[in-house]
Amino acid sequence: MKFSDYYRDYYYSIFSRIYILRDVINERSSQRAIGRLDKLPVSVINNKGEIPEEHLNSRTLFITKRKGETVGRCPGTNRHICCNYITVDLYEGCTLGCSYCIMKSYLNFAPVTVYADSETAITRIREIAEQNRDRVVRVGTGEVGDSLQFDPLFEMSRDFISGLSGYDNVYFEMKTKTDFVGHLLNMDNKGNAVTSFSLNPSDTVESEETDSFPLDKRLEAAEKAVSAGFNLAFHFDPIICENSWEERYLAVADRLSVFPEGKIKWISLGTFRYPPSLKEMMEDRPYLYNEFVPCLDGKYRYLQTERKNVYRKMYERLKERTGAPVYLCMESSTVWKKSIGMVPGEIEDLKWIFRKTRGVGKHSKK
Amino acid sequence: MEIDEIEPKKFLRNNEYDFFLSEYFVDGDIYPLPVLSGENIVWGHSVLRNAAEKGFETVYCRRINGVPESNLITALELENRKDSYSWAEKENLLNFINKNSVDKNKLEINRLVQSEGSFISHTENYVLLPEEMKILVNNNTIDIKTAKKALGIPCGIFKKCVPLIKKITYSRRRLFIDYVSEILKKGFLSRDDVSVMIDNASLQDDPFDYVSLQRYPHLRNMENSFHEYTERNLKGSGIMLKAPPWFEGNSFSVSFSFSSDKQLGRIIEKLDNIRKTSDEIFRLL
Repeated sequence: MKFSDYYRDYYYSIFSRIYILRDVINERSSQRAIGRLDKLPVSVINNKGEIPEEHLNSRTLFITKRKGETVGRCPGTNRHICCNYITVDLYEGCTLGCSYCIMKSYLNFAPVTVYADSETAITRIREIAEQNRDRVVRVGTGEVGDSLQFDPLFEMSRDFISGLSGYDNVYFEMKTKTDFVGHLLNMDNKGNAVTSFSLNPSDTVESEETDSFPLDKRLEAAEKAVSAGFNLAFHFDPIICENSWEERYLAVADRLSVFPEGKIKWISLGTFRYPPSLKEMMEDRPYLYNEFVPCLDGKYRYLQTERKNVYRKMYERLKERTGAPVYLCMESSTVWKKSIGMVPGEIEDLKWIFRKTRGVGKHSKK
Repeated sequence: MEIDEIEPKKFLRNNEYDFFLSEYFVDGDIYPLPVLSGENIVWGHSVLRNAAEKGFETVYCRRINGVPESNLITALELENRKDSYSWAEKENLLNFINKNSVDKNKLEINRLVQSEGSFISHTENYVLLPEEMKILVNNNTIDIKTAKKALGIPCGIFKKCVPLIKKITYSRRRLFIDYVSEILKKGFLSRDDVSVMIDNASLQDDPFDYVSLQRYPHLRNMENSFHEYTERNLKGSGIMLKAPPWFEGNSFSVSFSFSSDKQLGRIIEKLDNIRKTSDEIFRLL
């Protein structure tokens, strides 16, 4: 699929202008993006402060480089079990319009930011891989933005996939709510790269992920990716426990049975949660008025009995349909035990995922 | 009479000095005197009024030619009563700020009016309130944040809430309004049903308790089940059984004291009964 056929109009509908830091103007990824959006005005700047206030919004694409540590452990959350994930900030911010996104309230007033100097991060991940030869390094770019929404434009994921393909202990994950996998399919050396998809029932996608891609499109993209030789992962996060959630979510879980056994490397589950300070900044949606209680990390979650019930049912169904490792994201050991019966260290197919990676500091909380 | 720099004791006669001293102090002195800009008094209306009543024909003034922003700061400094402005006064201040395009982000102005939060955003919320709600804010029945939340409640329903919130503690009033507002937003109940709910709440001994049950039905049912269990099994035993906060966690705690072996025996018997029936409470976690 050619870039011009599919993506150009999409990006023109999102962006009105580009600002680029002088230091990264010669990066290949920067050149690709600017060349592909040649109708947009481009301003070269020396620092972010030069972007005028009226352009500090998501209609602006800001291409820059990282400051400080490029790769870090997911900050996780206090007194809850963390899955030992490593994150790289590549694309920061997205325009997919998810009502539950706690970053959206900030990003409405910030440009979509792309860190174009991928080589530094790739080099760092290689170092981590070398230090952890006896264990797995799971690393992904989807913590502060969508891994693939802008990737056809910059094609930085290709650099990561190629650059890490020689390390059989590295699983590089690209997490998305789009179907933008076409630009990756013809790659020769995929290594253990994982294309992963956030999933929600179609009606939830329509009402709460308004500018993202329909569930069917995501699953079609997953089929293309797996046919091309990619590994897969799926994330049911956030699970929004509204009317008849069980029927709707289990139906999505059932659809994963079409994927070949062993190709789904992991599936994560996380019910909707929020820090109290952000409730008022979020869109006023009916699901915010369910019964939430403060948990040990200060975030609000559904009642423990409700979460336990959701996880147990989803876990059982997903195991039955896919056989893939299934884990809970940011949950207490109590909920693990009450829903799955054990904690990750006791579950055979999760031990490799939860084994702590050496030599990586925590990323600061976003 | 205009003077620019003044030494009060030198210019004022004794009775004048005593008068101004009784009217106001700034930093332990009466300087500066009421200020004027053009023909408009920036501050000191009541001083002038009282001076006139006492028979003064002239008062010493200091002409200032500041911009509206600095005039306002001068007036607020002289007024010197942070945190005690009425809502009507704050509304006047906001009108002045808007009319004269004074910078709303000027922290100094906010600091002179109130210690916490932004008086401008609070007052902007206040001016949007319907008159009957302004009255409730003015007489401290509810605070401005609660009033803002109450704006989402249809007028007819809110009117029914007013006598109920007056019966409950101030801290619960905000929760009460939150719960009614959230029940409406969630669509748990239709507007008509919420109206009936408030009618029913008014018949209860504890209207707050009744409304919170509608807002958090599962949590409240769990609390009630736990309470009913402890009443049934432990009442009068001296044993205190506690569930984890919000039923979030995996353990209950128990505490007791005893002063004889007989009493200890009874406690052990009760605890053994808890062990046998503990399924009833563990299912709450």
